[in-house]
Amino acid sequence: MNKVGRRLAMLVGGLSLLLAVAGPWITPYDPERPTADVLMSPSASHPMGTDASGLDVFSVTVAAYRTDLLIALAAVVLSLVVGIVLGVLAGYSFGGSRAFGILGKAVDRLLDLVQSIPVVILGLALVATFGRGMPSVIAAVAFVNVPVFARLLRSSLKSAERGGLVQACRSVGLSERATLLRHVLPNSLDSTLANASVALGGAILLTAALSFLGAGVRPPTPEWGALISGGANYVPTGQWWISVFPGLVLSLTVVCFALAGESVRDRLSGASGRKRSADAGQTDAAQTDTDTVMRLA
Amino acid sequence: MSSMRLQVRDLVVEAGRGGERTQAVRGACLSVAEGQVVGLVGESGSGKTMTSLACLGLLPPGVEVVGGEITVDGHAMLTLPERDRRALRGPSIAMVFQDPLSSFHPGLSVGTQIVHSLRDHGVGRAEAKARCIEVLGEVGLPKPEAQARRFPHQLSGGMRQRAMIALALANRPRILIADEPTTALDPTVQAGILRLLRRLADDGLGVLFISHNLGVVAGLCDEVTVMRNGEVVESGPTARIIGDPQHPYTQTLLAAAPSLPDPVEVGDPIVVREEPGAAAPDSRVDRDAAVYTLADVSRHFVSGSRGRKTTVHALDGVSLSITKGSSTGIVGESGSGKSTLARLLGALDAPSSGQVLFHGQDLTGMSKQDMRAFRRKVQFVFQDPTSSLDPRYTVEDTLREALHTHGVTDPAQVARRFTELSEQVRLPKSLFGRYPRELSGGQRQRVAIARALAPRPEVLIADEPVSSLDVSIQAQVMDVFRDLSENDGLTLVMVSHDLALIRDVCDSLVTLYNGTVMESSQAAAYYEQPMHPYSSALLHSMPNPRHIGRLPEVLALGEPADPTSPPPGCRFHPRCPRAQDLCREQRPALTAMPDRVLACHFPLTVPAVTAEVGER
Ligand SMILES: Nc1ncnc2c1ncn2[C@@H]1O[C@H](COP(=O)(O)OP(=O)(O)O)[C@@H](O)[C@H]1O
Ligand code: SF4
Ligand SMILES: [Mg+2]
Repeated sequence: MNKVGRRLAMLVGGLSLLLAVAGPWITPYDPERPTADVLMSPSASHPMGTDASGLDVFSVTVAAYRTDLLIALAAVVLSLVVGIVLGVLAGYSFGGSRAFGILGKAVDRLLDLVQSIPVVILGLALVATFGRGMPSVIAAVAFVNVPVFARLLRSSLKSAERGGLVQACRSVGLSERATLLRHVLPNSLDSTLANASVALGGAILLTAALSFLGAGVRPPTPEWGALISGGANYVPTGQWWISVFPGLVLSLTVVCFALAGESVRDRLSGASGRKRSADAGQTDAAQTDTDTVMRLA
Repeated sequence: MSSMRLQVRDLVVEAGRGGERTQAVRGACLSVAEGQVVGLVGESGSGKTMTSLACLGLLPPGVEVVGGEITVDGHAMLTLPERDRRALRGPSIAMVFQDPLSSFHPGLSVGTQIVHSLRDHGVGRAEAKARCIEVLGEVGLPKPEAQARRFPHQLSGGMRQRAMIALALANRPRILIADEPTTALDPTVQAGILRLLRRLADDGLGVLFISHNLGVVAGLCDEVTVMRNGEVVESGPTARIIGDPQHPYTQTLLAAAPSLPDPVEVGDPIVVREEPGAAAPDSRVDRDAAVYTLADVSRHFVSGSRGRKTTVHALDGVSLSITKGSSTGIVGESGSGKSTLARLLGALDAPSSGQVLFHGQDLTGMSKQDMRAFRRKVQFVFQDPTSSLDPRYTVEDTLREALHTHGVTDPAQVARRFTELSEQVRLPKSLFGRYPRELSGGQRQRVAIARALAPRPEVLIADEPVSSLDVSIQAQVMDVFRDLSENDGLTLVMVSHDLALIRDVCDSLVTLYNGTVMESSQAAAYYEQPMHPYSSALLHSMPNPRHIGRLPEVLALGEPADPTSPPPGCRFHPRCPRAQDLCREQRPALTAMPDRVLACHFPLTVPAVTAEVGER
């Protein structure tokens, strides 16, 4: 993707973020209290029209943005934490410790297993077990990203361990723990963290997809996927705005986040300067990201 | 002049975009005549490569010629349109790079690529195939038909470089530009390539040879051009420029280039009586003085799955001892097991069999506490300081951590050690606040050395500590090591493939080949008269700036043996010019001599005429 495209994506993504944060203060109507205007087409008073219960589509879409963003953020943070722990177990040998070796292999298998479960089915299963609601959705979305981050970190750690710094730390007599926490992890993490920015767009899309299929947050909570599926019933009768506007905003946001995330990542990993080894891991993750998006599409 | 193949006059090359343009080459002049090898010398960044790329019309984007003239084989290169330039590349001018792997297409066989380059210049299919085999033979590849079918990664370093030269020569160019073509190779292999280039020039090719190694240039080149910061500072016949340099810069370069004294020429085989039991570890060494004793140590790396296991015999039955306060050089070609041995000594790796004793104590199975004590006593310096330092730690952070790890926490004491370390490695304390990226390569390596010295170790192990540095800096860093071993009583173990570089530092040498010890000797005796044919081959392959017009000799045929299937008998026999039937059948035992321990059935002892074995 060229530079201009990325800049533009950054700009639009940034503006939309601002919109999401400032939502409650700038949206004209309460997203949860219906107005008297039912199924109105877009007009000056309702720029995106209203739906069957009289809710202002624009206000609801902005409010849904907050929901989706919150879920995606929480999921990415959760998956980062879990992914880092698993990545360390899978990728670092702790000086050839036997116990950690076995544990590492087990984690590897686990990651393979998790990645082979289709996301949507997993989401449905989670919702069936724990009920609809934010925690289930966050867990499902996080679940998808854990192997991505864990793998990424694993490959950075593996190459770090072959590299000079780990050797040097060991030869100086530093403990394995100090080597890992003070030197290896801080130098390997930035590529993983940088990829979190790319993962955010995918997480939003996944959140919406789960709701669209009925495995998302509980109905009154405004959410893009739910809005799109709810509005879809009215498209045949000509009330296209109910699902088209949220759909457009969703697509735009996901694309912008993906592009902006890529430039954030490149800038972050560029800043660390010497992360040639991590590059392999990055393309790996980017690949997985597109895979996720493809699987959902 | 019709014999002039390449002429560059007042060349100016600018790089950079927008307003920030820098001149990479400023008014360079040089010329190469038919049958001549011209050396282009200078440190990294002096504009050598830019000059040569300009000659080919292959400057990277953003870099352009803004002045001067280039004449290639009678054509004014700079005024030609790109299509005509392309037609010249191959039949008129061709280039060979330092790293042939990156200039070959990895997915096509060597032969296919040579044929392609011929077909591009309108050669018929059958003729192209014939020429491909012919040129592969010309550059000295054995069994050219078989080599043509192989892929670049299947060839060894030296073979690959020869194949690269074959690719360049396929269209019979009149001029060949070779950019550091032997820098990545072992001296033994380099010597063969240099001889090849000399032969090609003697047959009429004009060669522009780019190098930072004055020893290589002295032996190979007829004329030398010295560049610095994009300018030519001096040029003329090799005998004058290298033999009697006028410009101070050339003098500095020459002063930094190490040179070896000529070893005694030796020849006739004399059978050494083998005394069973007299073998190593060196029986002359007082056991108490031995810091390290290795008895029959092997390190094998097994890879692959059950059915197809390959075993790399990185070290096989190594016995030696290292005396307290000595400085021992571990030498040998790449892949001979030097680094593996160093890592075993530093307990960064464990032997597959045999024992590594440190003051009589086995390193494997050491208690945690003993290991901690060992880590304090034995420190390591790695080849690449950039990767062995934490980019997020300043010099001070790095050193403080090393001190803290070994219990020096009192601020006053830490500060005192900082001062001492700064003096020991000659790194000004004003640089202590800097991050590695803000330091030069030489300064970084000094930091790495200081870190190793922080716990006041008894032994310092250094693996090729200067080979990633510029030549002029190598000597300065080696001085630090010499001082440490001479004045501070440190036991020094230094791995190196450069015999000239460690001559001033080491007082004893262990020569490894294919994972086994060939010779283990006092350094003075070794340099004066190598007795093992392999040691002799190593010494004679070292380029020497004092040998003007004399190429390093090739006394080891071909390239190092594959450590996955070591040859039977003497490991060196397939390459040894003195090999007899006995060598093929029986592995020579390490035998003690007055000033060395030796594993050879027919060592060199009596001075005689050296056998010449050709360029390979
Ligand atoms: N970790 C490893 N795994 C497999 N093979 C190795 C490993 N380390 C070294 N080797 C092999 O062992 C041989 C000796 O290597 P090394 O000690 O690095 O040689 P040198 O330092 O003399 O160049 C080489 O063939 C190398 O490829
Ligand atoms: S083959 Fe080995 S034993 Fe025989 S002469 Fe050569 S080095 Fe000595
Ligand atoms: Mg090595």
